[in-house]
Amino acid sequence: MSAVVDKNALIDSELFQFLRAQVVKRSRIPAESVTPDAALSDLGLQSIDAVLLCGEVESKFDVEIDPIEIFEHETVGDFVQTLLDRIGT
Amino acid sequence: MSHHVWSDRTAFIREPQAAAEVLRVLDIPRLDTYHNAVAQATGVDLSALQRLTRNTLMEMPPEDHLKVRRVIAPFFSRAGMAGWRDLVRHASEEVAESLEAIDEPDLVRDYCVPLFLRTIPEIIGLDLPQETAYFDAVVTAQRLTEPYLSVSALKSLNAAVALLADCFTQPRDDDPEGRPKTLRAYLHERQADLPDRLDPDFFVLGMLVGSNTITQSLAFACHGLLSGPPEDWAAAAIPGSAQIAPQRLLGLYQSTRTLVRVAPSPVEAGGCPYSAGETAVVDIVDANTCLRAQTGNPTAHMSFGSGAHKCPGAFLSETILDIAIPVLARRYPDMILEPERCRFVQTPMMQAPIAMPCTLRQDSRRKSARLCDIRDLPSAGQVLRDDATFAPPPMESHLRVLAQESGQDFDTAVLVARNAMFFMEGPRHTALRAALARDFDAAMLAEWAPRIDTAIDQALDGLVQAKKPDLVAGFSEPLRLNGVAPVLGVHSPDRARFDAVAPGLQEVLEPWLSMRHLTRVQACFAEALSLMQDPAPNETPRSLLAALLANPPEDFSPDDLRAVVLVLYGASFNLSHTLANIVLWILSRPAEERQNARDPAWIDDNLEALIARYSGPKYIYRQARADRRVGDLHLRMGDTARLAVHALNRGCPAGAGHLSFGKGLHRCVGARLSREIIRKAIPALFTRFPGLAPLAQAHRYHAMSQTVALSTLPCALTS
Repeated sequence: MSAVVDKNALIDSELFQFLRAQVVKRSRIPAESVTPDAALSDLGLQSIDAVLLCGEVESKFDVEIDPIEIFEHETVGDFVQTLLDRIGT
Repeated sequence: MSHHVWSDRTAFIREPQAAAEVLRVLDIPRLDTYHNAVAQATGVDLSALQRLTRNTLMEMPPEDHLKVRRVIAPFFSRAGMAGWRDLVRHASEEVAESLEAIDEPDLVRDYCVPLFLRTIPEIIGLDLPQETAYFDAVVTAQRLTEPYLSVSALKSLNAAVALLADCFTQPRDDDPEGRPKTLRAYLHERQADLPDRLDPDFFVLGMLVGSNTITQSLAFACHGLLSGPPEDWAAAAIPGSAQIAPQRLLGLYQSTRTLVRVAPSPVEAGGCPYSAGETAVVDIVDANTCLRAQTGNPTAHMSFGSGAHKCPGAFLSETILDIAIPVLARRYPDMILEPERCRFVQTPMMQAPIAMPCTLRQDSRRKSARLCDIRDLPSAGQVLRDDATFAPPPMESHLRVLAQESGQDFDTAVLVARNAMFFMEGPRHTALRAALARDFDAAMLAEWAPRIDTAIDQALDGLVQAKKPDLVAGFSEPLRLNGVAPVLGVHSPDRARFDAVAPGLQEVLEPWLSMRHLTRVQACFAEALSLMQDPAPNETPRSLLAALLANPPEDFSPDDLRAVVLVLYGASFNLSHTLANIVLWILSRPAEERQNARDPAWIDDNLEALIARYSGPKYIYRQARADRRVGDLHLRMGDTARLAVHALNRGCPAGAGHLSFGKGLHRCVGARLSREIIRKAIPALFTRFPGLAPLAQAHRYHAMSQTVALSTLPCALTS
């Protein structure tokens, strides 16, 4: 039960919503496909997309991200959770 | 006896005969009087520690000491240890195998420590749980011999001893599977020959604590073997090879640095008179060096002391090293360390590694969805030969799109990327390489040779003046400032400001820099460019920038050429890093081997091998322009191949064909200048300071992910 609650909380987070919008803007992926379980490597992001996307998140949430980190996470949810933890601290 | 005992290194005893006599005639400083005084003065319970101290060989009255030595001698003899070799081999193989399952193995944490826990307690006869807490208690208790420990330190020692003392209570079958009798069982059998006041269990506990020097020496020896030529580690796989004769390793890599003795009464020893209570410090490292030189025997040493208080654990140490190192080297012939991530603990009395992260095998593997680590030579060769498919990251186009998409101004970054040779390709790259072949050749460097010699001499003179000589700040750095910058034509009216900004030029532009990081790198390049001043057109000898400005290659503006030279200057930091890394390795060799470095012929013979092992840059990056199979890996278009330079170089015998200067179209244009400076600087350094010695484990590294770069390398000019 808690896993579902956590996932919903993740989806409702401002960060996830912002990240989803950025992914949709930079790739040909429809918003509904960008779920916490979506594999990052399937989003078709090139290095430039990763740098720009991370740049946007950096500016909005005042957190420094090494763009390569995007690809060191399996899913969108994992990446968002890492960022939420980093912003939290 | 307090810390001032070690303050005057010149008073240390180094001559072996004098050292042996001092160790024989003078006494071991009493520890119990200090512990008792602290306990009484503070009311702190140190009973466990005091009970242990009372039962150590160090604190026994002479007649008890002799009795105990006679009883334990057969047990710790080479013959006595022979029965335990199977246990040590089995444990070594088990622990070595366990490394496979560890994501980021560390040779101290994951090999030497578990091996200690599986062997020494068994031999000694204690049921020590295989848990880090118990090993940490051994390490804590081992500080027993340190002088004037604080009350809090003594309390932690007492707690550690109490924890270990609990290990007696578990019932113990003293002779499982026909193994030899444990020390504890042996002593209980020989109780009648032991002094009445001896508490055998606490004596055994003292031996366990003292045995941790074996773990430290094993780790130190592995560090030494893995830091040297690959041939050393290959030889280590062969049991009985001279390279790893245990007595040689124990002479070179003994964790003991000094032994302290105190005169019980007015006495003469080693040709010196001592008044009662006066202390003497024996420098074991230097005494071993002298012993090897005097006897011509590479295995001669006095690492275990001399006389009545000679450490009884010599053959136990020999047994562990003799078995544990070949087992590890045979199972992992391609193992490598990351020197900049190794950590040492060091006190005036001892030194030992406490962290040794390592890579067990050199197989290429995918690191993330976009990055592949290339660690085998065939795969690296394929990537470096196929310029069409594997090219440097297209930084200029990447930055232009980034600027356009983000709306940010990246003009300076584009200017730099456009003129950074490792990113360039096509006609501009070809034209620039041709110009450099013309203006940056052997003839040009020959004209600069006297200036480079002067820069070396000035650096050496500077070292003499320095209160605290440091071979980075005082040698490798000045050679870049005064040996490379003028040759490139890098000048600035505000030299101080330029030199303060310059280290930032090392930040390699790469496609994965975050926007913030990229903005910082761009600001650094912009300021450095603004601080540059063109060399006088008719300067002699003529610098590279002056030559290029006078005869520019096609499609290169003056600003382009200034960026070209500035990027080359940023890359030349690697010359300083490589030179300092080589000097560190030479300094870590025994004193008799350091003398080789004075000989220009030696450096000529070993230059490529030294550059291959100790070059600064850790990686070469290439980006896949198409999907391609590389060995067992499938790289997709846009994937980055990261070639691990030092791992790959270990496969280049004597450094032949190493990758430290890259390969093919993008090989380093500064290679000739780098070789020239290293070839001259090292013999000059060791000829000028024949007694040059490192301050043990005092070097430190910059926290740089792309480069092995020392930030400081303190030294003693005359040891």
